[in-house]
Amino acid sequence: MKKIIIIFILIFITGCDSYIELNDLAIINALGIEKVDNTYKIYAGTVQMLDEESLMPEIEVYQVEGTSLNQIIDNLSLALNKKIYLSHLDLLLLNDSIKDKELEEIINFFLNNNETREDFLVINTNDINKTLEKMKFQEINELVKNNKRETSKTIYTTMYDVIKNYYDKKSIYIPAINIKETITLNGLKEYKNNKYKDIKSDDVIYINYYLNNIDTYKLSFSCSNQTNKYLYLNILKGITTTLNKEILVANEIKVITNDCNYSKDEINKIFNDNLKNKLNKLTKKKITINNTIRGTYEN
Amino acid sequence: MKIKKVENRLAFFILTLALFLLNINYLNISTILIGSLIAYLFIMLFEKTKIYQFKIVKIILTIFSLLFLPIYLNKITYYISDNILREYSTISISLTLIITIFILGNKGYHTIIKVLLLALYFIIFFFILGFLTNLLYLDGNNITTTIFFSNNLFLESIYYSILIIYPYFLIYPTTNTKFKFYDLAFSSFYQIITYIVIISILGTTLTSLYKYPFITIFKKVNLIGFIERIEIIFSLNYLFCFYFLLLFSYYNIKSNLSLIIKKDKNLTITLIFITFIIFIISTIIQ
Repeated sequence: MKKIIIIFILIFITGCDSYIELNDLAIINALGIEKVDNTYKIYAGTVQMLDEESLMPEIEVYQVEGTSLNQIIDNLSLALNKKIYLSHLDLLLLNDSIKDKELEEIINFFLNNNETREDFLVINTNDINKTLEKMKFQEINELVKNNKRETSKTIYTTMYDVIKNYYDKKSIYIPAINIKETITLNGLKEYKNNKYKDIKSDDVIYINYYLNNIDTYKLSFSCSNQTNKYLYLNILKGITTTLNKEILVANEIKVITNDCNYSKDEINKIFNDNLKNKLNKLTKKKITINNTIRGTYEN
Repeated sequence: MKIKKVENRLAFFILTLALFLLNINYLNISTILIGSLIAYLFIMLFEKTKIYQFKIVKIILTIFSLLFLPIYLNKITYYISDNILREYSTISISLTLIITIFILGNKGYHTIIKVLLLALYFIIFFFILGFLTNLLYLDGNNITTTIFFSNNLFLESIYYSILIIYPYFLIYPTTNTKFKFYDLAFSSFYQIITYIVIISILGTTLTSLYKYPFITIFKKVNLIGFIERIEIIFSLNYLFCFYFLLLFSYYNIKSNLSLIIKKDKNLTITLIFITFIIFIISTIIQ
């Protein structure tokens, strides 16, 4: 009996009948989705063979249309004659045509697809096709990542954040990319109640404060008593703790240039007034700021 | 080699954890606490009255196992298909599982416990490793009072208590091990810790949306740029827990049937038939 079972297992259950050659996989790294006249347009950036000169993988952009995302992915698979592989998806590009209905379909598509991991970057761009053609997905990822790290003027929004904020009915902040001659980061798009709202780069810092998402950034104030002279600060760290009725903000500030010869208390006051003023526009809670200041200031 | 009592307690821990993970979307901290309390009271009652010695209880338990097996075989097959063998057909996965369960289940309780102990080294190592890799991703802001709220606290607590009582019946009466409070306390404590870790990484919304939130948390792991995409290793770890759930249920059916069917040959034929029916039902149900 045992031998029969073992032979049965060996013949029918083992083997590699479901294996797929690497060449038969369409590895998609970037996906752009827009809706035009009740039809989805999808731009898929797939990795091709290595370029012999630059030794970088070449990326080809395919465009497919359809009425539902699943249908389009099937169409793409037929067009490329390969299995669509989304596990290495690094970038999702959307534009203002994606509203509640479409967003829900996109979210459901990714939630039902066990292959994908929702840690890829989501961006908003005015021209998806041009963005994908002009810039490689790694470069866009780096652009957002570096800007977030060095200036805190953007947010590295992943699909996890989009799904979470969509179901929690909170604002979804998506980094906006503007494409003309060059590609530039252009603040954020705030999506709430089926509408997109532009947020300028300088205001993103305060949204990052609100979300406890601050890295380093630099800030300058012109001196009140002297023209063309500045107080230049480097904010090394910012931590926000949100309580029921209060928001606590702690900053570590380094004074780089102090042309105005402000004292520590004056620097503290100027910085706090500005931060409170901006944060009051985002929340009605009481704001308490505590700063550690080092660098050059008058004692 | 004699089976130690601690080995049975470990088996109870693994089975309750498996049931907790497979039903995580219906649970929260309040249901775990209240459900554990209800389960403890019932188990104490069972221990005092020795109710598990009655024939009618054994019949009810066998029927419960017969219903439980195809449902959970289906669940675990889809778990493997979704997380580990994505390209493989579900029928082949289900068939492999049921055949190995049939072979191992017929070997007896001693063999099952020893296999569990072998797997336990792997399971504990990856439990600790999983916890350590997730430490960096814990976010206290995700832990809100909602982790205590439940839409239907009473029903969910009763449901959870069944998830505790069922493994109790599978292990303790058959091995004459006395049930201790700390058996339940330890498994509930571990489940609450697991639940808090998952919630603090994903938040309540994402935890309820994902089918396998305990695997999704590993998709986020990216340590020093190259330790990433490790969720399949952890999926395998949880698979061991789920596999023993099926194995113990099957063993319960087999041991109860052996009391009715005395002849070995008839018993084997009946078990083959039952295994085949379980396999067919598990492939049919969605």
